[in-house]
Amino acid sequence: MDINGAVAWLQSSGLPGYMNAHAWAWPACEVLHFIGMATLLGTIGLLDLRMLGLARSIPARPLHRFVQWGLGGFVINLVTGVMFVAGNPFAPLEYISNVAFLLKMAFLILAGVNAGIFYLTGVSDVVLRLGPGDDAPLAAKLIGGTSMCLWLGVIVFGRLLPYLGDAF
Amino acid sequence: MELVNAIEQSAVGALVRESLWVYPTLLTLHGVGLALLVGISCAVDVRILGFASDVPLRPMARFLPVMYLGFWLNALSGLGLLCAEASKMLRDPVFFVKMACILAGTGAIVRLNTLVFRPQDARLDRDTFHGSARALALASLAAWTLAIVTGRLTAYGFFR
Repeated sequence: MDINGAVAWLQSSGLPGYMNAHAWAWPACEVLHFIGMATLLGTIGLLDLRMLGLARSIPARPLHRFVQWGLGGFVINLVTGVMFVAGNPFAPLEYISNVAFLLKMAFLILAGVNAGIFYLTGVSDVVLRLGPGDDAPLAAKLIGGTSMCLWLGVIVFGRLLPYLGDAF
Repeated sequence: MELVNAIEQSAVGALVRESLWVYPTLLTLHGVGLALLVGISCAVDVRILGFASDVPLRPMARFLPVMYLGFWLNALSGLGLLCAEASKMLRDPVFFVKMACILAGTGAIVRLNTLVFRPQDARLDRDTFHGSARALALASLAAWTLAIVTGRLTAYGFFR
């Protein structure tokens, strides 16, 4: 399904009407989107910071359990994010033509690729074996630093949606 | 209300309102600070409540400076945003509920810091907390959640 197909499907789904018929729907989704954002950065960020060398006395494997909370935050934000695009009072295409939105999606995809590299190249196996006091290898440090930068970029361009473009 | 107008007409208020980039920059910093402050505070809270209890709690104190960075980012960016919109915010009861939540959340952090991270008792690392530490962790989670809810609602002025 291409972008226009996805937009057409969203418009025919009844979501836009729902979002706009209820005054509370938009703010409720925004609140959830912010909670999801804080959950994601606050949990994945802990592992990133540990790999970068902070709080080295914490073994990595138990700390990694916080990542599932981050995943939960991501799912909340994926769902509410789709609601925003669908509920745009003008047209979902308003987002697609918004440079801040495109940058946010680019950072999001890169964050996904970064996570993919972490889990699929064996770096995560090395990291999960880090005990108290162990220093993470350079590859893990690079991935952790990249992760922090990319997620902060997602937040920055999400916040700039109404200013660089004119979506909410 | 004269004070409100004076704040709004002040040099800082005018700058934030009239510059093309100052307001969006402050708003962006406010979002980043929120994620650092609330995200890390809530991660510590769920650890105190028993999640990932094999993570030694005391070394988690090393993450707290990043959380405090988020706090100060938001205190300063929030002050700038408030100057620009003083007449809107200071007439909105929801804004004062938000401030109360932040006060409660910050109070919980400070109290948890003395209760959980200060004591030089190694047993703390392995135990799940009971009593006041758990209550404070729950209060912190509730305060930050409500701070986000009310913070978002100030943009709408439902109760103004």
